[in-house]
Amino acid sequence: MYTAGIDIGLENIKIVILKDASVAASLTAPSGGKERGKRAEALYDEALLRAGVSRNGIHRTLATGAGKFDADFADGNIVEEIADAAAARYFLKDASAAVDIGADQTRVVSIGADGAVTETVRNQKCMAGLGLALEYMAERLDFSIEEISLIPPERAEGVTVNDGCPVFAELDALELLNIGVPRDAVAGAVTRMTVVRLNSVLRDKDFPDRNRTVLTGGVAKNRAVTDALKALSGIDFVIPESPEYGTALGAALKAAD
Amino acid sequence: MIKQRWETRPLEIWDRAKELRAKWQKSIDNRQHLLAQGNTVESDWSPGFEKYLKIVEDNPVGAFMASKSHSFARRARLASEVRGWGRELCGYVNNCWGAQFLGRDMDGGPFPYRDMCVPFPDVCDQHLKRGQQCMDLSPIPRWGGDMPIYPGERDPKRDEEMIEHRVYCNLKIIADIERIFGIEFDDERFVENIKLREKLSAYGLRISQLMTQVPTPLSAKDLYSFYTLGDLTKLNPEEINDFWKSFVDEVQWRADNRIAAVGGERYRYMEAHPPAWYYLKYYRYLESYGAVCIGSQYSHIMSGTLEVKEDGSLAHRDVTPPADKPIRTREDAVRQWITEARGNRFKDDEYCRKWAITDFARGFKADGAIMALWRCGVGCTLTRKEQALRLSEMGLRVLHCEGSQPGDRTDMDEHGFLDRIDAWMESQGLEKLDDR
Amino acid sequence: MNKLQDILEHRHEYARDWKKRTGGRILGFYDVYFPEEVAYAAGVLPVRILAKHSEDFLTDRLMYGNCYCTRDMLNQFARGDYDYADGIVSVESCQWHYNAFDTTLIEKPELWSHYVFTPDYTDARTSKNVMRSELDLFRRKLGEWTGKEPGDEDLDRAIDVYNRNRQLLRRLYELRKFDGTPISGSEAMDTVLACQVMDKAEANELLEELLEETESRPPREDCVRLMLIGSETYDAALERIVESLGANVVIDDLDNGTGYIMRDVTPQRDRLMAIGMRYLLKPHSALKDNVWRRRPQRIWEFIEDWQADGVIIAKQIYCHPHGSDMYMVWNLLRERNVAFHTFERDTTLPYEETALGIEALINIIKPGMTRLRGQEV
Repeated sequence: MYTAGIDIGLENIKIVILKDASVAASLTAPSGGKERGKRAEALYDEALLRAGVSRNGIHRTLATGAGKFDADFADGNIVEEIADAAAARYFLKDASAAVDIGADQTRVVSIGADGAVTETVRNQKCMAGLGLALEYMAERLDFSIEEISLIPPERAEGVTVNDGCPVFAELDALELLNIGVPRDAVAGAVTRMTVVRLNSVLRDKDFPDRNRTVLTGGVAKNRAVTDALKALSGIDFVIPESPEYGTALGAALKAAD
Repeated sequence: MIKQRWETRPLEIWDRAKELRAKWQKSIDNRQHLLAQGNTVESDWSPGFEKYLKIVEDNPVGAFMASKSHSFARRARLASEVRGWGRELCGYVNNCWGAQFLGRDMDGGPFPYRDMCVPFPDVCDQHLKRGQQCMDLSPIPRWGGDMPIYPGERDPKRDEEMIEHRVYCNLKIIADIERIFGIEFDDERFVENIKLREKLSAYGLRISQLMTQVPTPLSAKDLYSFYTLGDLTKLNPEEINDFWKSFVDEVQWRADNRIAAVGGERYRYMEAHPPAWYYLKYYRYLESYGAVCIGSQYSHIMSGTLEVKEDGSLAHRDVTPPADKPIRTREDAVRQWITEARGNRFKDDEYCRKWAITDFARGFKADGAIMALWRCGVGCTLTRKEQALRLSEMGLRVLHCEGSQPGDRTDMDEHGFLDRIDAWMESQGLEKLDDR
Repeated sequence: MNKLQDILEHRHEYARDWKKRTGGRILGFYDVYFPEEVAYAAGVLPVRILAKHSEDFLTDRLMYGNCYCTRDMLNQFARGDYDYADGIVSVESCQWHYNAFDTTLIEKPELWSHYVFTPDYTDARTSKNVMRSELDLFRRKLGEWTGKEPGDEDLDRAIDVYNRNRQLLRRLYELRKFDGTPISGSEAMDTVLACQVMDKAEANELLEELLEETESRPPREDCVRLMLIGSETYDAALERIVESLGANVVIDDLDNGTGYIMRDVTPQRDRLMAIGMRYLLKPHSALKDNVWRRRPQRIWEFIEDWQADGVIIAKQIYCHPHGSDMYMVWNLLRERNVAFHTFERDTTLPYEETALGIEALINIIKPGMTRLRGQEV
């Protein structure tokens, strides 16, 4: 049986096609603004082609993410938290928490023994846009996102930026550059800020189990962030190979229910 | 088509409520009275001056503005911001007092400039500064007051000086108004209002008690249309008494016959504080999930401070002395009214009794809670996160939504809020009733 | 750096050392309306909790909408920076301070705690009775905690020490009235802050030395004299930025500055009443200035008496009392044609962004004078 999950995020659309719970195809592309529904549909068709299946061959397609209501072509939609929980159980059979860190949103989902969601936390507004902030800062510091993800917070050597708000953090970072602080030190400080904010979300309600928590989302590809977050929180996250597809995968799994 | 679990029907008393509300509004609009900035709940003496004076509180004006005209509210807030007021101040304040700089109110009429300021003492820092906005514009008489507070159990010995202080402040206000404005205070009318207040509190309690039933005969959204009648909107006492009696009778009948406020009720949630007045449609949105709001400590304020007894029933906290104490002087009357130092408000509980929120949840049989986080509302937000943790500990699922303040639409992400509602409901296994 | 500045920088070490030396207890407090004399009379050292920028991954769980200062106060307790504090006390004043107090007790329930209701309506005939009643209760509670309730002699001693401290700090402030004052704004503020975190008797000795030493200092070559108004501060970072631009903060209307040092306890037979009256009638904070205003007259007198050329208004984001008073302050300064610059502070105080606005103000006052980072332009 083929199922499909579409995660229309603020920045990127992610699509996963499953065949009997194995990944048959996965694709990602930028969301765009008003046109994201059309872009999602085009990407969906491309994913189907790669999976070697037609629309009629798909049992069910579920959309999730901020733009889920733009996917008219989907059979239905599902809230992100439920998709996250399903994905976490896929990657780790006894996962008790799922954490997803995306361009603009961070979610922490507590999962009960039966796989049902027992608690959910989303970031406060002041912490919105951490993923986007990292991308923006990489550009300002003249690093690629891959390069900045290899610079650990220790490189900051005592330099700090505002950890209350990514916008103020950016201002501080630019100020540091202007006074001659090396760019990798600034990058380290920005990473540290990101990790401090993420750690804050983790602590908001139920603290995730140290050994049974799955981490997904685009920011999970940032090695510097994930290593520092593991160290700061004490959680040994399970990070799948392509973490950005986590929520889309979860939607595809739930489409089989 | 949403499947109904319970019989439901509209309230019959709506029209009478609207009439009373319109009557009060007209009494303000006719501009034939002195206008006082203040808080009607803390100014229960004001009916003693009712021939000459009306209290116009800025909170409901600010809330009403937010609900009816976002564009006017924005203009008012901008008018206050360019003059220096912090943009992160209370939306009610910025709406109402920003409008004074525009010189007009929302309906295009002249702004109701106040003739005096009576205190609005409250644990909220913003309330404490209320009325200085109109005073800073042009000097008008102003008085002070206190909402004494301290954490922990009530201490009658500690309360003594605080009660004396409150009594003194209010007697001074009355005497000063008489002297400065040359108007006579009607002590009999004041006493009448105190007695009415006690009755209203009892009526309010009955309504609150009935709302603990499943299904609830009244939702919080319904309650918002009634809870200020008589208290905030001080009108003819016989009329108000009669109205509340009929209201209680109707709600009692609904409760006895299991007539629900929301026909699909299967999930009861509580709240903490004033809702987003400009986005009340979320109540209707939640009804599509069969979720009904049974109120908050704020919306049940008409009932005084509530307590859950050992048998699980809701009652007044037992601090008010018997109502039949003889009243011979104005001071007796003030003392009849001011029976406690800490005041009869829910914020007392937020500060002083950590478990009051869980009591409330238990008493009203709440399954979940929406704890709004209002960035610019000091009093709105204080202890909210702690309360959410306590509710979570007792097994309730808590939803947080963020915004500026109940009277300020500025950064309310409406789409995001509905998204969070969906996540909150669906992660508890609840789908929309019309999806089934 | 003078000795008081050194103690300020190493205040935690000082506090630990004080405990070892004296065997006494330390009580953390949040607000300058806290009647320190009563605690001091009980042999307890009141220490004002100072916020700083430190990493925050804790407070979102317990707080929302707070200013960064109060978030950091909670953080510091959670991290153990104040592990030497035996208790904390709050008063009726800023609501965010209360929140910090309340949430700290969630994290550290073992701390002794008390709340003093200091009337918001300070000027009523009955306000002082409420205050006295609260101080009496506080005295009794301290007695239960320490095993010795402070008597009149203890209170007299505390009043003397605290009055002396305030007098010495006012002398320091008086020096700033003159052109070429030997005291920089940052040193003055550091000195006041140091007194808030140490034994006042010890501070008084160091203050006497400092005042004597200033007599031999050369005058400062400040071109522009500025006043600082706004939310409470916990360090002199802003004053240092001003100094880097060739100007000097010569006076303030801050709770932790003039709000802390003005007005003594006038001794009377009823010591608690005397202490209570001092705190009720001292310069009103923005919050306590909630009936007929006293702040405008006071601000104007400071500007005139200290010959301030201009004013910097620094409001903390989410500081509601100062946000509410801004309209009044702007009107006052505009009426009197005083140049001013307003900005919002947050967790961090970035140099360039902050300096730019102040430099613009300095140029309004003295056109053509700019000095950035020691370089004349």
